[in-house]
Amino acid sequence: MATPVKAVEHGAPTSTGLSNAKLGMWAFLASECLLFGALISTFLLYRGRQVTGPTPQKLYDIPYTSVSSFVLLMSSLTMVLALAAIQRGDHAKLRTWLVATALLGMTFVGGQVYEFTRFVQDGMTIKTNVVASSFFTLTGLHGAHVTGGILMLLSLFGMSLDGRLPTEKSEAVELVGLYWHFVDIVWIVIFTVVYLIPKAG
Amino acid sequence: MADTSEAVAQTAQETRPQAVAEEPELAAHPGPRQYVLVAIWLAVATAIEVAWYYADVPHALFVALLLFLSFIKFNLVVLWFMHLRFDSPIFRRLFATGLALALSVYLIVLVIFGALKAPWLLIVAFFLLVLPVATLLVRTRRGEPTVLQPEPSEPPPAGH
Repeated sequence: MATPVKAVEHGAPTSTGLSNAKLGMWAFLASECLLFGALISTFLLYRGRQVTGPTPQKLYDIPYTSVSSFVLLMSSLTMVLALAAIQRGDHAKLRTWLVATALLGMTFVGGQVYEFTRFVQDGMTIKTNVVASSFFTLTGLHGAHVTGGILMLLSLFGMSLDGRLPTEKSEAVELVGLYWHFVDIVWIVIFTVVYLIPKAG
Repeated sequence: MADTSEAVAQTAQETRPQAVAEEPELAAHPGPRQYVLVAIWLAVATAIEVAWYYADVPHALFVALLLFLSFIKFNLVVLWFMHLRFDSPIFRRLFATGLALALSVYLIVLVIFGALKAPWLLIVAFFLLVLPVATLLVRTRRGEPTVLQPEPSEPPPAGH
């Protein structure tokens, strides 16, 4: 007996009626929860240790990181507006919002590079102690994810300029959007657990 | 090849009403106005977090409010920006499974290695595990009163 086929929003019909690409992206994001969970837990395990040399908690500049967090949060808004634009068939606005998202992402990554540079100048490198190692690994990997997202956004922008991103292919924007929002929610957790809460401990 | 693509697209178009009838979430997504509103809530929550950081309050209260605000922000992004509130429950369950696995495994690790000692912190951690997963798993019934209502979807303009 043949498997019933349902229409999907994008692409070929599937037996679930859902896009396989989108299903795959959600499975990937679920696995990313485990990756970032491991790194956040490692930081939490080490942050109370007695170590030599400076620790991140002593060097944080909370107002500065707050602005970075705000920038990344607003990039999620521009990303979802890009998706809404392509779903409406408004390709000019799609390109505007994609570039805005990429620029906000670059601002965030630039801010993180500046923060890391300042920490190194203050004597805290990835080799200084286990707290610093876990901090740089966690936030550095997150920054690498943001950088990957920026490259995807710029690729979408290029495809759109080239006319290779018609409204029917809006799922490509949706998938990149899911990835981008995930990077944002990871930062929401990092900002609270790694930057703000250690003040109390 | 082009004929095949057109045939697939035509089939998808013809069977879409049935797919939407079976998965009503496919039909209604929020509009730009709702997204801006969500972004304002996110900005307000972040501002409260930063202000709270400088407040001189008891340790438990300090951590509890920060975790609560983080939980709110997490849910706003996941349910509205990532459309889990409107998309198929399969996506919601898939993500909730990964989240539940990560939270439970690492909470056990933190307890075993002594990073979570105070009983109140264990309680907060428990709610951090249960609340997000429960929020994602519970299927929102259409028509229920909510804080934000999705805008009716507009037909896409023709042409590129």
